Amino acid sequence: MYSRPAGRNLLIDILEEFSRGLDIWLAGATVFLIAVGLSILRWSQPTLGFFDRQVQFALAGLLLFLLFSRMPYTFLTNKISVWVLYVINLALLLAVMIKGHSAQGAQRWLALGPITLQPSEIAKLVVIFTLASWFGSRPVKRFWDIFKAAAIILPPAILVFKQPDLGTSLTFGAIFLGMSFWSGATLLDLLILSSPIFSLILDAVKPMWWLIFSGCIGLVLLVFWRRHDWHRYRGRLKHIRLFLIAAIVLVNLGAGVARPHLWGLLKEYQQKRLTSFVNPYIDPRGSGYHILQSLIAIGGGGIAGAGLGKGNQSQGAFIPERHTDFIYAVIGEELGFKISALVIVAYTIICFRGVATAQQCAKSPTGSILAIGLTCLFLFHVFLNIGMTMGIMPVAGVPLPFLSYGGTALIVDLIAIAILQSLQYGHPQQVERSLQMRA
Amino acid sequence: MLTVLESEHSLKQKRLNKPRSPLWRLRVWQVLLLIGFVIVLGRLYYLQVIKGKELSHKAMIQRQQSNLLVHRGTITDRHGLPLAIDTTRYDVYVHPELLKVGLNEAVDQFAQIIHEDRHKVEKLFASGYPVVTLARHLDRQTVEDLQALNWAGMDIVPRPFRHYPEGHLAAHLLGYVNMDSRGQGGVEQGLEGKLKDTGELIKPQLDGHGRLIPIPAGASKPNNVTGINPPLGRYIELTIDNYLQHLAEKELFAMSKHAHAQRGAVIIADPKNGEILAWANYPSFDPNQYSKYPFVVTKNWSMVDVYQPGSTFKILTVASALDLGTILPNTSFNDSGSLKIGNRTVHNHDGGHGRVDLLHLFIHSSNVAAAQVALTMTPKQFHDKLQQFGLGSPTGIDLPGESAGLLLAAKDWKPIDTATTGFGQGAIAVTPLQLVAGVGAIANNGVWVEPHLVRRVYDPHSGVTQNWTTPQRREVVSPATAKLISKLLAENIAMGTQIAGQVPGYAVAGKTGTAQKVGQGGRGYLAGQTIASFIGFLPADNPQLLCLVVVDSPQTDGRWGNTVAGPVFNAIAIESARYLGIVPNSGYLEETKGHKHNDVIPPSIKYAAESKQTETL
Repeated sequence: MYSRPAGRNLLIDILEEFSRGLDIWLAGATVFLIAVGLSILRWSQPTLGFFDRQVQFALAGLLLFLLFSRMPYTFLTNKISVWVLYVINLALLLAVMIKGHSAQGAQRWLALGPITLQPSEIAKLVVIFTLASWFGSRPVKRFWDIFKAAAIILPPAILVFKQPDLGTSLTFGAIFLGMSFWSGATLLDLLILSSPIFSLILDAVKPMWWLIFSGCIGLVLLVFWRRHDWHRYRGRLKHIRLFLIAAIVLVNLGAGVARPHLWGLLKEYQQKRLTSFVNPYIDPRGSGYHILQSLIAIGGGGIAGAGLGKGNQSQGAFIPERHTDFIYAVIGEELGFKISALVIVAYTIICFRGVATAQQCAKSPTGSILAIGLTCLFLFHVFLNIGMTMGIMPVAGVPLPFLSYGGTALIVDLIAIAILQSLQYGHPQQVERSLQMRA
Repeated sequence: MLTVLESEHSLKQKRLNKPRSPLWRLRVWQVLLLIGFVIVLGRLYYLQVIKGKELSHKAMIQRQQSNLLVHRGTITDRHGLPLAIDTTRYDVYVHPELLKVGLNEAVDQFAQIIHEDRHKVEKLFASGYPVVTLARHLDRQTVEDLQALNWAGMDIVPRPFRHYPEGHLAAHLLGYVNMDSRGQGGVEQGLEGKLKDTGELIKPQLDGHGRLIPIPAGASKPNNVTGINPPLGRYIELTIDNYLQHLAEKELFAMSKHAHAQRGAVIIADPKNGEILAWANYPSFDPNQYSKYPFVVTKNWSMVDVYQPGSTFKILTVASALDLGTILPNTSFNDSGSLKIGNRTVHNHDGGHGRVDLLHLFIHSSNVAAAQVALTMTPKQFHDKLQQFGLGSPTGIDLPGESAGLLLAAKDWKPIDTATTGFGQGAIAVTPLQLVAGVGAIANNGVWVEPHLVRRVYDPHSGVTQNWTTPQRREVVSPATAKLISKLLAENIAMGTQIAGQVPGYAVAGKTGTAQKVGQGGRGYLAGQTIASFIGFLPADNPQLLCLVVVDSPQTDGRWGNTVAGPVFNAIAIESARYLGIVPNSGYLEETKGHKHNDVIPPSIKYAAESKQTETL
């Protein structure tokens, strides 16, 4: 400890202590986003007490941020804690299924004493920890390795899907793809894995696209699938590569054929949401309504915006879920292009810093993959949510990190930032430099 | 199952075991992130900056989608008698789940009050929709009965309702207003903009739930709004005369029904200014119940469909040739009853007449002479003259969907076409309206006037006329030619056999027509089927009234123009001349002084008993 100069008090010392090594970009972007979110809740929707509660959540999140950012991430990713967290998480999700309380047709919340939890939000973090721990010790070397890890996300994904919460189950998939890529899967592997889902959606939108897509998959694999990956299977199974390609194309075609049956697993509103973004004008009063209203709101904002609380669309009850899923439409209308663009920039900064953190701790596979998992969490949510409000992504119902009203989500997002911060503390800059020199 | 074989020195194997380069993956990540960032930001820029204005406008429109009760303007005849008026009726929507009574009771009550079949109402409520439309256009009394139930879950919404107090009268000219409050056909469609033009209204702004957005405190009144505009469109005054319209429809319908005609039309116009005083079409429809009639009935056939006019067209042939100077007033022709042109022959309906001059061309309605007149002109000359008479292009009447008629290009005319066109059966087909405008030019001293139906558009609030219709005019033939033709036509009526044209006290210029009917698809003529017509104007020396009667496919009275269309013309001409107070001019023609007049009984009286019979059938 150094002696305290005259005129400085303890508070400043504490602040200095906590801000040491702080990633100023990451923290700055986060603070900006929270500020925008709170402003919307405070001035654009002063009713219903959203603002007061969100401030409380933010303060709680700040405490947890300090805690998690100073805690070595290995506390969370060692075998024991991963097992414990995973089991607790599954238990929570089951509990939600059995006696959760519902809102708007979905059963997502669980009352624990005075607080109401949304376990599906926590599940996102737990899945990231579990996957990081798994991939950390077992990097993907072969195509089949991916499937072993996939077993981890299946139970929570199915439970969440049943709530029903399509957005969160898709989030698990996206996180999984991103993390396995960082762990060694090739882009082709990921394409193969996710292709049946694309086939499903394309078939629902326009069957012709699905056929073209399936054909293209086959061609791409023929050209790019690394031959030597399959050289080990000589002799009887010499042509396994061709068989596999055929199988994958068949699976894709099968996905399209079986789509009408699989489609039945989704609720009708989910089906419509997934496809209506392609042309919302087909049903402007039904499934396309939200998208059109959102487009009109964002477009109506122009460069300067209507001003907080003055957006005709936002204030006129045209925007559905304007404090949660469609909050970006409110930002677009009331704050205009300048702030809306800055919001996107802030998210981009967070994502870039996340990837940089992953690179910074490349020496520790678990930490590196953990950072990528958290980045994926933000990336997927932001792209899907903002894309949805602007009509380039299907309406899947994911919250916008830091901006959407929701306590659990805000706290989870802050913890995610805290863990990124903690990763940076654990792996100071020079590690990255030495790695770069070696490379 | 899979056998992993050793490949000891293989570089590929080495690569497989080596972790894939994290630096390469970092770049992939960064590139993907950058692409995503650019896409999202680009989309934002596109929406807010490029499409911003358009989307703001959409938002504005959407907020003003209200159930504001805006009435269409009234359509009146030339004296202000209403032909189409707007009233208020009520649409009733029911939220079955909000009703506080049992479904059965509700169905019973509703069915009783709105006089609807119980099963229909029951089915409506069983459809499962949260809101059902119980009934539309309910009148005030029914609505009050519904309100007396005092039930929750009923939406009673006032709506504008179009009413046609005169029923069938001038239905084709008015058109009707469909379920979406859009005018269909007639003036309702043609002047939709004017009828709905209320001027600047202070519209309520509604939010997504349909609630009123209050006007912000301190908002200033829009400075272009002076006073409050009523939610009422412009009024339209037609040139139609209610009395003449009734007269025309009465006589035409009586004759058409008697003759079992397929359809018929009467157009009464003022040739001096192109105003249409009456325009009847048979069969007609009731615009109050437009949905009960097929399209062939609701369309205004006399401006949409074409026919070959036959002998009435000889007026235009002779006028063209005289004006071009290819024949002289005293030119005469040899009529042997038939004329061979190429390998085709044209015939008269009644054999040869020897030497005929222009007057006897009309009196005998000689096809051979008319063909010879036409052949004195080149196809180009004849075609261009007919074009000036308004053939081959819409007349410009203020109604939607007018046909241009048929006028073959001059280069495609063979001599036989020129000859047959001379008596109205060749390279042309006209709408009755076009013929009225064309012959109107002869009546109006050679000047063609655009026919029109709208007299003026005015603002009922201030009484200020927005615009009077000013028709286009163009000189087609010289006044001398026009006068000469008028005189020939008047003598034709006075001396000839076309006695139906004779009106006591007036010299009437006129011509009958009995055209062969072209078959479906335009190939060949239908045996025995004719289109009987009569066109005439009076007084011949100073025409103030022009009337065309066309009856398509009559089955009685010899199917002649003179016997089928003539009596209709006669009845209309006598009564309208009296009604309009046209000064008699019987001294115009020396020869007709003391001429014995043949009485023609108006069809409406002659066939009154008959039409009663068919009514009761």
